Amino acid sequence: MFNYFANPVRFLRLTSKLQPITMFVASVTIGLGLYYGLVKSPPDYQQSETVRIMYVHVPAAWMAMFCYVAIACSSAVALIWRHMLANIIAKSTAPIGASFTFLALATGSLWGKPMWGTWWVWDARLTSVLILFFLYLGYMVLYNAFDDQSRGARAAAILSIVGVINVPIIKFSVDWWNTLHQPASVIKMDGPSIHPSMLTPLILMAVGYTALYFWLLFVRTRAELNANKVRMMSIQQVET
Amino acid sequence: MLNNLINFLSMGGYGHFIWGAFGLSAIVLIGLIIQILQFLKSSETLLHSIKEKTNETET
Repeated sequence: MFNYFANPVRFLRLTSKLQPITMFVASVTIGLGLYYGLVKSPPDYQQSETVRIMYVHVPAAWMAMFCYVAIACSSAVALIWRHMLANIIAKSTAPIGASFTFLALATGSLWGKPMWGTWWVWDARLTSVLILFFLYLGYMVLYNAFDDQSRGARAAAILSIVGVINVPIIKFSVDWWNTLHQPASVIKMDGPSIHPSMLTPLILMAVGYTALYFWLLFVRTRAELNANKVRMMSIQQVET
Repeated sequence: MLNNLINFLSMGGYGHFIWGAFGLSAIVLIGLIIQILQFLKSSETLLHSIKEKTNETET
């Protein structure tokens, strides 16, 4: 399958069909998610209205990890099979994932102040997510740090694969260490422990953020492939 | 009617935090969308102009 879609022309043909679909799904689910999250869902019995921050905080945090794993996987594909497209997918994911990570940190801070009484604590969950944010920044800087694009891509790919160890640390940090952050309540062995009235907007927003990621990824890979073509054509022009 | 709206916006006294979190998410994500769409547009214009240039030199 990788080899089939490693052909940019085939990939672009597929994504040109998926682009409007993902954009449509993202706008509908985020729209519905905002309505359910801000209007229809009830306040929490302990956290009152602040629980609504969950609907933008948790999906952003999920996407922060999802995007990072996507970068690491496509980087591995790029290193092993040398598919140029895999590097471009990883590169295009990075700013999207970094934005989601920033949002997870910032909205968490806005939730922490009224509920924990502090904007920030240096505990395992918050610190490991901050490290994830720095991994994204490091990846993007390293990718563009070399005159030779392929060397930058290689160095950044290795960084992303080494850094993937941080993802399980984030996931299990709330179980392994004492923290102010609550443990998982949706993705659990015995099913979610959230009432459907709150689970509905949460799932809607999560689906919306995922669709938004794929839409932006497709648009960005298209732009990166254009930029690559421009680079190659200008080299040819210089040579002739 | 107006009271309902004020009630809704105040969010039980936590309005700053809640609207702050939703507003910030909107600003960051819309900014990201605009930036990526602009990148696509500029890459397309650049590709178009360089294609025209190569056509000119060939003819």
